[in-house]
Amino acid sequence: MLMLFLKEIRHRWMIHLLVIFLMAFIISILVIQSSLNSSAEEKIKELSHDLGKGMLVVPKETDLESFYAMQYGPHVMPDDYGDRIKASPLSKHAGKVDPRLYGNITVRGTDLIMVGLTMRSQRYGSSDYDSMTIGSGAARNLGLKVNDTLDINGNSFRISRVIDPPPKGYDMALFVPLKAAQSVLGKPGKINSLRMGGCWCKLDIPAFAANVENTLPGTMAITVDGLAKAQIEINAIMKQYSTILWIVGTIIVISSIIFLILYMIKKGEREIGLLLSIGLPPGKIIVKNIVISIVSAVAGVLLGHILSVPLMSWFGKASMRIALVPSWQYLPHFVFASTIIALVASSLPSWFVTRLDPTKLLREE
Amino acid sequence: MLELRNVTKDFINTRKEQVGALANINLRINEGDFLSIVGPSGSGKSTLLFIIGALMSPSEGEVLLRNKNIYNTSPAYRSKLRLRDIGFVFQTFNLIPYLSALDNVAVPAMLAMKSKHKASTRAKELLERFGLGARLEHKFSELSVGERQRVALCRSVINDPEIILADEPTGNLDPTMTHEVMALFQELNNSGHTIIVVTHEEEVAAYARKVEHLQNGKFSNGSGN
Repeated sequence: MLMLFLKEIRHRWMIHLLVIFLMAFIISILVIQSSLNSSAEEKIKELSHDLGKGMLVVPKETDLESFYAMQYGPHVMPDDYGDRIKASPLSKHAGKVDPRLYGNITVRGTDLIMVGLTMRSQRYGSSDYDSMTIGSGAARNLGLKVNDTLDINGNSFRISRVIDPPPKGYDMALFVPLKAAQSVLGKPGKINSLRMGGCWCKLDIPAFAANVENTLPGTMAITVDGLAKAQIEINAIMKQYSTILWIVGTIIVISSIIFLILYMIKKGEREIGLLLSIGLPPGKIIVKNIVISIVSAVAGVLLGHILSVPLMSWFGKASMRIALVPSWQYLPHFVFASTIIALVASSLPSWFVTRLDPTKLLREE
Repeated sequence: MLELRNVTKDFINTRKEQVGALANINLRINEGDFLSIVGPSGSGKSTLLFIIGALMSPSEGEVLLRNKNIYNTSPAYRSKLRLRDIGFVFQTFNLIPYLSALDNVAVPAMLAMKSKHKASTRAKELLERFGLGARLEHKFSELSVGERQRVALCRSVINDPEIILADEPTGNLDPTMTHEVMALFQELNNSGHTIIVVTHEEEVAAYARKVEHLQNGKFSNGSGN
């Protein structure tokens, strides 16, 4: 029985795969639709904490998901971009302009984050080229304390301060002057982030962000307000289409399963007939069809969830410039629903066909 | 053992007209009989064999096996009959295309709850006996017509059924293999199996102990008894 089951799947692998992919695509859209709100809200909450009412300007090609995860890529922009903003009409809205160069480095086997900044804040220590402020985790791992010296890539730094507790996520950070970071990271004259702040209460922030991008070619400007606005727009669209999306999606999923079963029965009519004619009990044929349908349906649901990860990330970046992560909380619901649909859709036609005389299926009349 | 009472079979053709295939057939087959049913193409002999083999319900009449009307039973019961009690050799072979010759023959034995090893060993013995020892792993499409016929024959006897029904079993075989197949039926008959063969060839029919002629859905002697 198992041999027949496996060999039949192998014989018709293409149609099974086609149905699984069709279902997976639809399921991934449903997953994205159902988890979009919560994921976007979560991400915006995180960014609100990080950006406040400010703006983050980064090179256009930056992978934001990696950026937020503190994995910095090769993309950079000129370090005079801060000055260009100050020299532009936009400067009246940009009270604070903070160019930074972030990079990942390894020192004595410890993975660290280097942050090059203009050192206006006392929090990050002195603006001397060879002065370094470090997070408490980095100090502990490297065994450093104030006034110790740390050599990186031929640059020698004196520890001027250990920040304890450090800002969230900067436990393993080394704060150095921008020029020093550019030298250590091999990116002279470059930055990969520009933070801006000001009183923007009466400002159309998305329009302001667009002006910033025009003034600084090859950049993207991210604001919480912009993200929130994009989310509201997307939510409105999703709300408008969610019912129809669910109905169409559900119909396609159900149709895919029914199509698979009917195709299996139609293509395998003769085989069902001859299996019946050589004595395979009708019950076993029904069970075989049910199992194949459920396996295909569940495989489609799982693949759909996996597919929703890159799709949602792409969708989030395209629409809100943030990488969104789909919620898997609906997985059990999808699995349960698809199992029930597969069960009903496969058992009825299979039952019907096994009630027929085998010769009807063998077309031996 | 097996009795057909007033069996009639009608079909509806593509023009929605009713066409009679069998008319009021009565037939009694005793345990250990070897019967040949001879008739020209379209005489209804295959239809009769399907009805005897629990594969096609008659339009009217009864088919009694050990005094039980098999068409008053469930499809599952009839499947069980076909698995254990009735072996059928189809004119069109009806082999499963994605299985090897060996698996095709072994499937009914596996379904009858024999272990895969036992089923395969028995299938191999049968196939070797019919000169297919070198074709065990060949699929349906890789076998010649005569080889397919022999595989179908092996499959029909693997569960050692009480009744063996064969629809033109030698139609695709050469004279030597024809003799070998019919001799096998004789041997099976001598060991107690009931055999019913449908053929259009009188020489093949002559291997049987009893011959009936079917013409236009009726036995030439009137009843078939």
